[in-house]
Amino acid sequence: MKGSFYLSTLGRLLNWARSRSLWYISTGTGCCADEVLNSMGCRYDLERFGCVPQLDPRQADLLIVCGMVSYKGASHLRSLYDSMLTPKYVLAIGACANCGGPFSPQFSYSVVPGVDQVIPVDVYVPGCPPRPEAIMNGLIALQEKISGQESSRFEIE
Amino acid sequence: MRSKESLLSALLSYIRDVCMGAWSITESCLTAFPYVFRWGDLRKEVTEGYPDPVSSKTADDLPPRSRGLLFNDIDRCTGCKECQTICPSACIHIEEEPGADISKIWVSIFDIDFSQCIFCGLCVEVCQPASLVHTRQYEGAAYHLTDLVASFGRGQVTEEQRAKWAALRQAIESSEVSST
Amino acid sequence: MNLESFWVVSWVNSIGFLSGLPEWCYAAISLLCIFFFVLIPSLVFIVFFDRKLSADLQARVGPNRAGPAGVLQPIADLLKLLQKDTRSPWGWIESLWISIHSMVLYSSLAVIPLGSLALLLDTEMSAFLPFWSALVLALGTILLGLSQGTVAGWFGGIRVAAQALSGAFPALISLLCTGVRAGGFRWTVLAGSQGFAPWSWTVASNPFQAIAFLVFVMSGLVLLGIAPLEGGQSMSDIHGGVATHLSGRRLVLFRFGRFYGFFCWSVISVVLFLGAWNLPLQFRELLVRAELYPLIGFFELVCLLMKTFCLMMVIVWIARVNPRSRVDQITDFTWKVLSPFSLSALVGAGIWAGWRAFL
Repeated sequence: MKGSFYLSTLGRLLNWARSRSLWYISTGTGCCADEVLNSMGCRYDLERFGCVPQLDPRQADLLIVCGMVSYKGASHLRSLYDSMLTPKYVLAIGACANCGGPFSPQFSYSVVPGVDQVIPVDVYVPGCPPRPEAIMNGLIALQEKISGQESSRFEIE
Repeated sequence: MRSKESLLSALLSYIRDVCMGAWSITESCLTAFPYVFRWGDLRKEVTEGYPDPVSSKTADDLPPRSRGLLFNDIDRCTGCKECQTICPSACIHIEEEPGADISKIWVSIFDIDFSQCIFCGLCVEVCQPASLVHTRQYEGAAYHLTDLVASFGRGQVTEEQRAKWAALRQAIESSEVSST
Repeated sequence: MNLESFWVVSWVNSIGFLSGLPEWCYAAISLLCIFFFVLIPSLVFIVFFDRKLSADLQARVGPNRAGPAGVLQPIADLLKLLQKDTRSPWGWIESLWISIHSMVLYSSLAVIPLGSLALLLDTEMSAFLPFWSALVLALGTILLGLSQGTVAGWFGGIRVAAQALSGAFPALISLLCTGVRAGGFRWTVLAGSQGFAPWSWTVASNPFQAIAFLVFVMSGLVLLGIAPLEGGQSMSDIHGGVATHLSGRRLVLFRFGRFYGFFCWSVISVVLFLGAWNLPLQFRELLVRAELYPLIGFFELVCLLMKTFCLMMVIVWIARVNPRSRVDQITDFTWKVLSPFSLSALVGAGIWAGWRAFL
């Protein structure tokens, strides 16, 4: 992002503000939407991170793609992404959104193999569906990316 | 029916409606009031502050059969490719070749693409040597898809090594033949 | 202009090199003081408080990761919104909306009562000026909706118009009720008819004033489109109605206007019905004898703001635990319930005042 080149205090402040106030719009086309709904609720409160669900893409900064995207729905997803205003971020949640999952091209003719074919994705969260904690981990990774402090990739113990 | 009602009874029912509305609003406010001050046991805070250290949900608190990211112990892996065959989303990629030891196959590549994995557990069930297990780790957010590929393989074999191993195998075989 | 008693004037004069400025300079300085030191902190506090209280009522935690306990959340939201791209260049109706909004915000700042020493302007019809400002604010919101060029915007604009018209009538009538008791519409007269103790407040003086208070608060919420009775301006009503396509700076201005309206209406409700800024008489006399006028202004402000925040807390509380009403239910409620009640309260308050005068 252009913002991560600013090294001044003001730039850091602005990056901090952007990372702490990610208003999101969620496209629930699959079962991962249930986990996003769970993490919105009172048990795993996404509002702790300053994330507020929005109804209109123009007021949202973060597009949470949860679930598979069919070729028919891809153009709608693209227009949803286009109607968001920059700076905007995308969080792909679950195997279907990452790269088709069980609907990948050798098994299915109608599903886009990953939303990154349609829109640029910032953070991928694996899982089928991921736990709400994993979604929050993806959100924290996105906040670190916006603040310009990307941590190293995960390692399995 | 409305026209036959007397003015007084209409007025009374109107006032009763207003009072009932006011009472229902008051009641809902009173119901929610204990939550502000966290009174009683049922009113405890239910939120699990995930990244904070006070979180109640650590890996040990997960359900006993929860399926996290996969881990393959390559020392025990025989390279039978059962997991690759049964995987419903084709996320396991295995390449292998004969190793120095005849009884053991050299698994050069054992990649699990977590971006495609649906954590169904079938591969773990079919794994004969029980080398493939589910860990209890669920956090795996990555910035690039390639970061989500976990490699457990022993690495590619160079041509020299291959030739050396072939010679070694032949030597062993010939010695076995001569001994018999 | 009631400038001589304003504490900002004495402060500016005490700096020395600024003394002897023309009157409008003092007025501008005091407006800026009110804006930056009273209004902005109050609004930030309200936004934060609103989110925390609604989180508490839903057994959640609320924002807690921006700053200690999430206190910097409103600031993060503000800075983020200011960084967003604008969608399109300003249309002329939108410019009209912006000018109406900012004119209303800054002109009503001059008449908002924040203490007996902080009254910049006090005329015979002071109490009506915020009322007209609210109506003009509604007009600006209607224009904003019509300028959207979308179905949601047009219908949102019409709904805002319906709501503002229905809310204006009971608000005006219940405003008259207080004037009947106090005998005037000056802020000083309205505040002077009450005392510090709760039993000397207008709302406790007779049952009709209590009804007038409830009607005044509720009709103000309808008129400005604020949380429990937001109707056509809520997020779930045709995708936010007038605010559908607002983003970035425009959304900041829109939300600011709404929170400002909420704050001002609560302040005015407190001044009219809940004992205004009155301090205990002995305490005030003590301060007057010590000639600590800035301290009087400060304590009066604190007293007023405490009551205002309590009132707002009750309103937020009601808003968060009740289901949202549709716009037609709200206009229905306003015309069929609030208006008759306000009229009966006016008649009752008039008879009560006449009877007291007769005695």
